[in-house]
Amino acid sequence: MRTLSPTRGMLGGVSGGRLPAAAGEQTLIERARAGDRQAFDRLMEAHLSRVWDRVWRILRHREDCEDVVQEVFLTAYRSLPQFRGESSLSTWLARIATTRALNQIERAAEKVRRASEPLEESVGYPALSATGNPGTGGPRLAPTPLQELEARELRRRLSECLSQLPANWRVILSLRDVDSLAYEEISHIVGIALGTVRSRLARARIALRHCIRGETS
Amino acid sequence: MTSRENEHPHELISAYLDGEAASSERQMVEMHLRGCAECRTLLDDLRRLALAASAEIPPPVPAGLAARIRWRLPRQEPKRGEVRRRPWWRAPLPLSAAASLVLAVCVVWMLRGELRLAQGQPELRASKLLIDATVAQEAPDAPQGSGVDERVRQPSGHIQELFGQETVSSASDPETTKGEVESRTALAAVIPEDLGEAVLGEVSGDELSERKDATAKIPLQRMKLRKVEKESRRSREMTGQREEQAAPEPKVTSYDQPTPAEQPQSSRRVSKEEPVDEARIYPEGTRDQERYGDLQILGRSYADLMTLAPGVTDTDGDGNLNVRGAREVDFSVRTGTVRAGTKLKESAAFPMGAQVIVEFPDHHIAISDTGLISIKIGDYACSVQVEGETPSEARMESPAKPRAISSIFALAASLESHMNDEVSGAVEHFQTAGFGESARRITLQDAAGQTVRRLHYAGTSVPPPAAEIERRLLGLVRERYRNEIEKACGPLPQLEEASD
Repeated sequence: MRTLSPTRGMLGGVSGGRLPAAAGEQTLIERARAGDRQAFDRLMEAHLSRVWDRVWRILRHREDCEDVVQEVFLTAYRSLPQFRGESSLSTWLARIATTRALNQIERAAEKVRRASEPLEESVGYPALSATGNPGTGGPRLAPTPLQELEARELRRRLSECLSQLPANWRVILSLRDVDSLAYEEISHIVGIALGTVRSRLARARIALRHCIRGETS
Repeated sequence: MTSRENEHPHELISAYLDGEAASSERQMVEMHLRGCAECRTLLDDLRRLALAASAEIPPPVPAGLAARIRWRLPRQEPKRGEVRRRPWWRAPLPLSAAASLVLAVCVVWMLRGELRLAQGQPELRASKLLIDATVAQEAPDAPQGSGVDERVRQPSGHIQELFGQETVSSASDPETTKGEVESRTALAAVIPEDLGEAVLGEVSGDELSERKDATAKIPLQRMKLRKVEKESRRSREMTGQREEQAAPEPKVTSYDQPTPAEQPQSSRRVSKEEPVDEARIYPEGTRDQERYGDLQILGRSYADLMTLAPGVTDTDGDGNLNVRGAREVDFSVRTGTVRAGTKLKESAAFPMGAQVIVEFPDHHIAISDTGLISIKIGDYACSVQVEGETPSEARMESPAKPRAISSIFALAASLESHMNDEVSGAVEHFQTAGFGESARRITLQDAAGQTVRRLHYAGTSVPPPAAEIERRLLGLVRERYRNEIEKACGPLPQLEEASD
């Protein structure tokens, strides 16, 4: 690691301001563990956004997300005395959030509700319609090679197609592409075999690609 | 494995993309890629998708969610070692039962005088029934023939005799509290004006046990029962025994859902969940938090990110991106009242010094795509070169080795699509008030130091990409690279979380 002078660097000439007066997170954790609700409120406010992001990437369903995020913080509040501080609070919360989101998937019988079994069942790589049913219903995306899609259109299609993927595929995509976890870590978190992580990730990506390209098959 | 998979090793290509392919597999993939244009395109597409997915911005946290969470949290928890005092009506069974007994005796005592006035001096078997029933409940192990009337040793059975099967089913309902059973028994016994004619008034002493044809009077008895229950409720209200308070405490799961009465309407569905089987989700030996201990923020190399933009291609195949066409148009945009308009120079595609600068009122953080992180907080200033973020390493390693910093550049490059009136207002605020209490500014510069994106915002009007940039940047400084920063420059002052 190369260290530069503290007074040099890209921001060396920028004048600073007063220091924030917020109490340290560790202090807040200790107070929250002792039952201080205000301390927990501050921790919750600080971490709410990232917990929400994580859960949303898995569920992509607003109401479900709200329920799960509430559960995450209720769980955290009650489990805080067991939090040993071996990882950061955000990491700990992220793990709870992933677990709860996965649990929500099972509870909600997601596959049935979103009618996305054909993706999972198929051995090929079907294109998804806007409704998630290959070849039926909904406006179909115009077939376009990925390279020709503008960045904005790519983001729009990506969002649409991610919503159509089975949630247990999205979990893996999120853990890999957003959190950059190794396959082994994903395997432990999701509770599936390493080989399943690999194959499911590949299938999810291929299905996503076909969906975004608007291909029929 | 499908025939298509045999023909084109998609799974291996995906693993190759993630750097998760074994050495032999990697060689196989690279050999295949050399001869298969389709799979090269696939690899390129998968890389684009992974980048785009990592840069996706979730919707903002719903308004009021924090308040709803607070509402669902338990009341102030007792401190360690502190014993919470229960109200007397939620005290352990013996105490509450004793209180019920005292209450019942008082009621009997009060009514006794009235009955004597109304009926002369009848023998009030009712009061004996009441007391015996209560005693029988309190002393279920009392020896037979101890003076307690055998018929009231099992009150529900006795009520069955009096009120018929329906009443019994109600009384034996697990939802019905013991207190209610007691109360019904007591009141049934001590209101001869209501029930005396139908049951107690006509039947006394041993005749009561011989009376088996009470079913003939069931309709009347049910009517009487409703009166009894009404009286019972009134009695409980008078004594402050609210029904829900007398009810047993709800079973608490491992996740301790609140009772339905405590929940907002919108979240009641959640309370019906089964307890979570975390053992299934976390197999044995994987629950240690270290597993999750080094979550990377996200991202990939800046060079890869630039390929997301239209018109950016590597036409000559030399590994350096060529910026043409649509990219120039894409960058020629207005950012509020600040004219960005700077065409991205080709040098910016060489990741040697483009940077994102986030200026908060209190501190400033800048990152370059070469992995240089600079922080300025008051008198504290630090610049560190973090390992594994240099472009050369990015090129040398697996093509999709994640890079935490590059995703921030992608977000910064997307800022123009989130302009709105609020942001324009923030620009004006910024121009007039400068860095006030809440004004912030994000700048994306190319390697030549020219501004290609600049966004001012203030207060609550934070565009989603800006909030995300703030969050990720703070995550890098406060968590991921905190050790490196503090090792180089000493303890990091507290950084305020960016407000949403």
